[in-house]
Order: sequence, then C-alpha cells, then structure tokens
Amino acid sequence: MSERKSDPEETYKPALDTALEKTGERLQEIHREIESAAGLLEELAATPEPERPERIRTEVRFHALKLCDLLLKRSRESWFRDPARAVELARMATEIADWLDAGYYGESLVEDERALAWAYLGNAYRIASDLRSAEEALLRAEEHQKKAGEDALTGAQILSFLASLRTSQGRFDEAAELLDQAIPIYREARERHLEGKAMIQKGAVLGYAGRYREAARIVRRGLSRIDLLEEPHLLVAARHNLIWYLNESGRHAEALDHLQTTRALYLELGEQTHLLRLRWLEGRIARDLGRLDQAETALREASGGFIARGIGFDAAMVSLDLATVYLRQGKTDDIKRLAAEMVPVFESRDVHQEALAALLLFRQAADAEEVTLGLLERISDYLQRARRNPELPFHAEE
Amino acid sequence: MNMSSSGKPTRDDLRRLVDRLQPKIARLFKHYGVSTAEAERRVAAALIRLSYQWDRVRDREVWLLTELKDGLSVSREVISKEPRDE
Repeated sequence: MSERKSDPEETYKPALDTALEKTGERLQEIHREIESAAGLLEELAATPEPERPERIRTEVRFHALKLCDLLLKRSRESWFRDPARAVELARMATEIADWLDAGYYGESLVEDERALAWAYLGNAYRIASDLRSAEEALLRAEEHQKKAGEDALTGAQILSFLASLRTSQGRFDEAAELLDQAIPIYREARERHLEGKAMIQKGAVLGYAGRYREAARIVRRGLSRIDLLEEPHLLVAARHNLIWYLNESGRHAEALDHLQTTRALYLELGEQTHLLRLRWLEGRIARDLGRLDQAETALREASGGFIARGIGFDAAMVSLDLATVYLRQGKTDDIKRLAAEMVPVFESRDVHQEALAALLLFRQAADAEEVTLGLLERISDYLQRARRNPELPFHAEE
Repeated sequence: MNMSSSGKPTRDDLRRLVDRLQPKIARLFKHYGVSTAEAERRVAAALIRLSYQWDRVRDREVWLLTELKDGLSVSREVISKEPRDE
C-alpha cells in the first residue's frame, strides 16, 4: 500500500478532515436531542404510569439517547432523597433504551446506553432496599456491556454499583475485590476524580469490615484525587469517614485534630444531616477520650436531631452510643429511660421489624440492669449492617 | 487534557481535539495498516460516539485514542481467529 510509505500525518489528514466534516453535520442533531430532552421528560413524567410504556413504544420522538441520559441523571439526583422515584426514572430509561435505533446511533452506543440504564436501575433498587431486583438488573447491565464491546468506563461503573450491592449484602471482601478491578480502569482512563471516588468507596467497604487502619489509608489517597468543586459533599463525607476510622483505630487525638480542621467545611455546606453527623462524631471522640460529660451533651443533641428528622437508624445508633456513655458514668436510670424512649420512637420510623427486635432486647436488658458494653456493640453492629440489608436476621444470642 | 466541560461539543471542540491527536492517530493507523477510507469511517464513528458521551468523559484525548486503539485491536483479533482456506 503506497499510503504506508509516505508521512502518516499527510496520508491520513484528508480522512480526518472528512470525518470531522461528517461529525459536524451530525452535531446539530445531537444538539437538538439535548435541547428537547427536558421537555420530553416532562411529558413522560406527566403521563400516568400505566400509559407510559405504550407511549414510549409508539412515539418515536421518545426513542432518544439524550433523553435516556437525562433520566439517568435525574435518577441519580433522587437516589437518597427519593429512592422510589430514582427507581421509576431509571426504569423509564431502560424502557427507552430498549427502543433506541441501533441503525442510527450504532449498535455499540445503544448497547452501552442499555448497560448504563440497567446499572442505574440496579443501584436505585439497592438504595430502595430491593437487593434481589438490584442483583437481576446489574446482571442485565453486564450482558449489555458485553454486547457493547465492553466499554471500560461503563464496565467500571457497573463494578462500582456491584460493589455497593455486595457491601449491602455484607460481602465486604467481594466488594473490595470489585473495586480493585474498577480503580485501575479509572486510572488508565486518567479519570482521576472517579479513581479517587472508587478509593473512597473501597475505604467505606474496609470500614464496614472493621479494617479501620487500611480504610483510613485508602480514604486519604482517594481524597488527594477527587475534584473538590465537582462533588463538595463527597469531600465532607470522605473526611467524615476518615475521622471516624482514625478514632476507631485508637488515634483519638489525631481524629479530633482532623475534625477541627474539617468543621468549617461541615458548616459551609450547611446541610442539617451533616451537622448532626458532626455532632455524633464529636460525641464519640469525646467519649473515647474519656470526656464523658462532653460526649453526653453531643450525643443527646445528635440523637434528638435524627429523631426529629425521622432518620431512625442513625438515631438508634447514636442512642446506643449514648447508652455506652451512661454505662461508663454508672447512670443506670438514664439507660432505662433512654431504652424506654427509644422503642416507641422507632416503631413509627424507618426501622424494620428485625431491627426493632434488637432494640427491644436492649430495653429488656436495661430494665433488668444487665446492659453491657458488649451487648451495646453487638446491637449497634447489627443495626449498621441491617440498615443496608433489611432481610438480615437479628439473633438474640451470639 | 480536559477541554470544555459543557455538555454540548462544538465543531471547534472536535477540531481542536483531532488536531492535537493527529500525529498519534496517524501513527496508530499506519501501525495497523489502515486504509484512508477505513480511517475516515473509524474516526467519524468514534467522534459521534464521543459527542453523545461528551459530558460523561473527562479526558477526551485518552478516550478517543483508546476507542480507536481498542477497535483496531479487536478487529485484528477477529481476523486472526477467522479460519483460513488452505
């Protein structure tokens, strides 16, 4: 081939120019698709749910990849605010992805979009505590990703969601292994922020598994990679976790130093739940430093705040921490009062039956003046795991 | 290197991207013995795909080179596995 003998840049320049010209022509259509996506989404959202699949099937204007992208973005925004809505939006995305025209977009792009839509649906199911549906959806995502030609970044996203699911199932080693596969993919693609985020996620997995020193180490590395402007909440959450792990590793003074330097960030972002978590952390550090009066005040404030906002699991866990303070102070009557107050509050909150059984055990022990640090730690550990997996049974006896 | 973070790529965005990568892309195509017609088809397909994923990809230079490289190595693998007439 004569092309091989000449300067490659000269040889291929006309081909690249023509490719740019062709793409330029298509850009207008892509821009139109982006601009119309929000309106189409509003129309779909206003359509009663039972009629949506038929509209999606019969009206070709809904068969748009950028509409699917927008649904996934909105689903992501609803993950923690409204998990049921997140599921609904991601499900719509999978329905639209089914109808995308492979002849127009290309087989690989369409399959990749299907993979992402199913992956997002899987993650939304996990957050909504439907772990079985999450597993099925993520399996579908993997199938589509293979058909798409195994796009690396989509693959890493699926691995990360799957790791979150394994964490919810208490399968921490598997979760860590999945993240070990995702992290180098992001590194190779020079997606520094996503690499850092996956490291912070791995830190959380190690933290749940009680491997606090390793968790603190990898969260520090993750923090050095994330883009502060892109996700300021991730920065607070990661620093919060780091302080938690330092405290759990016995490095209480170091944890307190970090907390002082992070305080401004908590205040700056100003979300009430962040401030309550800060107060909780302050209470735990104070307790572990032996400053029991200070710990009591902080934990009471945090517990009251979580109860007022209906965040049952956190309130229960803070109350158990408060019980450990009372126990050290020898305040048996306060433990009894706390236990008696907890059960009715949590009966009307987001705490499921098994978790309630654990709290009842605490109440019985308090009434009998038989509460021990071991019992409190066991119930607290159970609640931590059961929060992510409502099907996890509680065993009264070890 | 990252470029405009807007969700909508422009012709200029794509032109700058391709201009910066032109020597590497050309060397890649030369290495695989790609014809100019195939080069045009592959680059156009990759750029269209990138345009749809513009807001999702941060390092578009790495993405475009990887996309082209992966496509070429997959098609070479397929060719080498195809049965030959003896």
